[in-house]
Amino acid sequence: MRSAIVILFVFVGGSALAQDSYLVFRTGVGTYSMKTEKTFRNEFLSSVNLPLRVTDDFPPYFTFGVSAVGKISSNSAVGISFDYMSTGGRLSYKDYSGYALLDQNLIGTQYGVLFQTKVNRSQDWSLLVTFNASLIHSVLSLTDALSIGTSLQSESEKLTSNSYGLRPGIMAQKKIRRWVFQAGLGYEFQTSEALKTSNNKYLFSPLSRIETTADWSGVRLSIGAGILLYRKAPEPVNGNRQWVD
Amino acid sequence: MRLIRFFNLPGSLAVIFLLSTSIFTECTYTAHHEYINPISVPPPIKATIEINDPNFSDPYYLLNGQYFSFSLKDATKPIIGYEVWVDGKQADGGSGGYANIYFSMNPFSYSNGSHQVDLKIKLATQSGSLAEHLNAEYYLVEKKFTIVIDPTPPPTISPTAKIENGFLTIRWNAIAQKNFAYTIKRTGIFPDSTIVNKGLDHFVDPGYVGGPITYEFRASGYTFYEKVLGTVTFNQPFDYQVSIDKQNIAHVSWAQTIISTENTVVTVSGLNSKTFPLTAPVDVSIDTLVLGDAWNYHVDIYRKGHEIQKYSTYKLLSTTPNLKPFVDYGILPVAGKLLIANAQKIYRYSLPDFTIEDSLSLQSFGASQALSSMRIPHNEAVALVVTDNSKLFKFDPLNFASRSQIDVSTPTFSAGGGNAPISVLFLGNISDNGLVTLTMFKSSYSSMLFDFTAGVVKWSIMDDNSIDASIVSNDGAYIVRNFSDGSGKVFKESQGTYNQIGVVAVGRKYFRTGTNELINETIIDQFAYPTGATISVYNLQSPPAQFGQPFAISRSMTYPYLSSDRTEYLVELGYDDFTKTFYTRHRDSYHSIIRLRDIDDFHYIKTMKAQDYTRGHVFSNNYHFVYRGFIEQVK
Repeated sequence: MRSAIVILFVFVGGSALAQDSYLVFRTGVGTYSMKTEKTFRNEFLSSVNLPLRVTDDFPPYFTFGVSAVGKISSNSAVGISFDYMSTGGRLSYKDYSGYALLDQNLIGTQYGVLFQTKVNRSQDWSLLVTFNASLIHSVLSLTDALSIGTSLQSESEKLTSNSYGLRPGIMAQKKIRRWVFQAGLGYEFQTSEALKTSNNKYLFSPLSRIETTADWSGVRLSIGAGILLYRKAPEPVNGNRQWVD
Repeated sequence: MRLIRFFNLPGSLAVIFLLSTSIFTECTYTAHHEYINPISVPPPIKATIEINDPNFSDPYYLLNGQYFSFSLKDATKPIIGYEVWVDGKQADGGSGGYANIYFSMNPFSYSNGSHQVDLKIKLATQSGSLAEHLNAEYYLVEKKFTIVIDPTPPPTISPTAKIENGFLTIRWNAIAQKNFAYTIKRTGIFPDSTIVNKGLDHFVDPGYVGGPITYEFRASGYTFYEKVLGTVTFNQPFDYQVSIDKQNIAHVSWAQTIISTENTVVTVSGLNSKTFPLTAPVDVSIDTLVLGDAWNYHVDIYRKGHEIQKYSTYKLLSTTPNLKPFVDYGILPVAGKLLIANAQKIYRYSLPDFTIEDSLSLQSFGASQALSSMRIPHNEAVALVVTDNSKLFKFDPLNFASRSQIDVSTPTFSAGGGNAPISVLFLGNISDNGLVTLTMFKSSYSSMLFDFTAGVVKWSIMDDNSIDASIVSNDGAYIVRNFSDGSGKVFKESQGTYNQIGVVAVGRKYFRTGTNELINETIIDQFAYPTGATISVYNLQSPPAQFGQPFAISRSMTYPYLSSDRTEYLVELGYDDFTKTFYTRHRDSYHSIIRLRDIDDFHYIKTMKAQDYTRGHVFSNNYHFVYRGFIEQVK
């Protein structure tokens, strides 16, 4: 499966570079479901009988990405993309006698292919419908710590998973000379794959015994800027230069 | 142009890549918030552990397996757990809230010698801190003490006992050894035991009020159980007197008490009882005694709160007998004498002072067995007595030296057996004119009338099935006897011959001297219940038309067997020819009761009581007496 994705990535990328193409760097904000992570946290909270409180609840956080897009028709383009996202959860308690915490920090990296097509006729702003299919590699850094007086007990574990995402969206794009500017809105759908350690141990919720996953599903809002990488030789029209969208 | 050149493709990509990498690295989300609970460190508290045993001391001598109960004093926080450590090793423990905490120690589980015990009680700080949630924060209250296991038995002691300040006090030399517990066991009229503290040299028994008692000192400890260290026996009787005053009232009295009167109660009881706080001096009037009374008068003493140590003692108080015990009697009103006969002797008493004037022994008659029925006629001229169940003697009741035997073995008395030896002989009565009715058994029963003056039998009859004696009237005119056919037959003398003139009921019969009346009393036996008994009076001057017909009853009176309140039952009826009275005799739980009535109209005259355990309780010629040897004049 991973090999097929790499082949697809290379193929699509190659196709894009063969046409009018550009490279765009994006940043934005994403919301993250993290349903099973929250289940794990809540059940952990119930089972330890400590006065822990949720101080970090997998909040929306910045996303970063880069994509290379090549035109395949007058209105459509395909490309490859890379996205980076992160969020985290924490149970925390601290008083004069010590502290206790449970950290669930997650990092997701997406390797995807995209398709976009223009749905308006404006020459200044293009409104595109986009589809991004990706492989999502997630890393959960799980840390618990309990400190009473001078005594500290702590342990950490890293768990990873690979899942697939599909993010449909809309995007507004404007090209100014060699620069490309984008603003997009989408929603990430994701398959559910269990997190596991390097030695294939899974993380289960303490009570319901549900396998824990990294569920990045959520809204994606982004803006980006990039530059044209390659342009097809323009055919002068009325002495003006024309850039493909 | 320079700007455009700057942004040529390779340069731009390089800048953007570096920028992105930096942003990725710096802008990865990491959970970082904290919840800080602003609570304070709990303040120290003051609490101490108390052992719930008033006898606890440090060091503590462990005598046997036992529970230690301990609790917290001044604790304002709840207990969450406790630990018991012995010689640095945890021996017990628990968690949760307790009012009192227990743990056990058995000397057999430890070596001889001293052992360090460390009690630890954990109290919740109630701070709500993380450490408290993890049971890592609590108040710790400790108490350390030493237990000692010593198998050496204590030495013996020599206790002494005496009354001190009204209380029995036992003293002994205190034993320095501490590895045991005393048990004082009381033995005597009650078993009991008490514990005294170690180290004492005396014990005051708060409940002792008298009587024999033994105190046994026993010691129990590790490897020895109730080892007897010494004993002491003591007896303090209660000194009291019983007496009868001139009004026959029983008195129980004492002048002083050696024991303390504090919280002490005494009960004096005889026929009745009285309870009152012990004091001194005391003179308790408790019962009015009757003729022949004899009662044990009990004194029961106890101290409040120590009823188990009640002391009971008693003394016999009896009226004084003024006669010898007897089985038969005869009164001589004219001479003022009383003759009584028992199996061995006949005594003559003067009346009314009841002094013995003379006596006549069985041997005086040449007899070897026993005296039995004795009879004296109204004229007091002679007395007849039977000895050896077969010999008849005549003697002067006022002069015992004048006596002679009447030989009843002669052919004169051949009726009912010819010349066979007599095995049974008893008398009926004697008339003033020298006639006596007697019944004898040779080969069969014969009842006869014998003229001991003339030496002839004037009437006789055989009746094997009835051993009743015949009765002759004082003038000799009538004979009456119960027969086995269930009738009493009356015979009248006519020209030297006695002929039956009628019948009367079966019963005890008397001729009323000086009249023509015959008195018959129903004999009380088991068949009388519940109908009672009847006294009937017949007029012999009015015989029935035919000799086989019954006499008409002139008057009669019937008495129920049981009194209306069912406290008395009827024993017998009696008739006294001297006073012309008859009486009913009843018994209740304690006494024999005679109720005297007039024979003419049956009106009630008076009641007399006696304590009587035999059948001999009679009234005769205004004397009231019991065969046990008590007599009193009735006025």
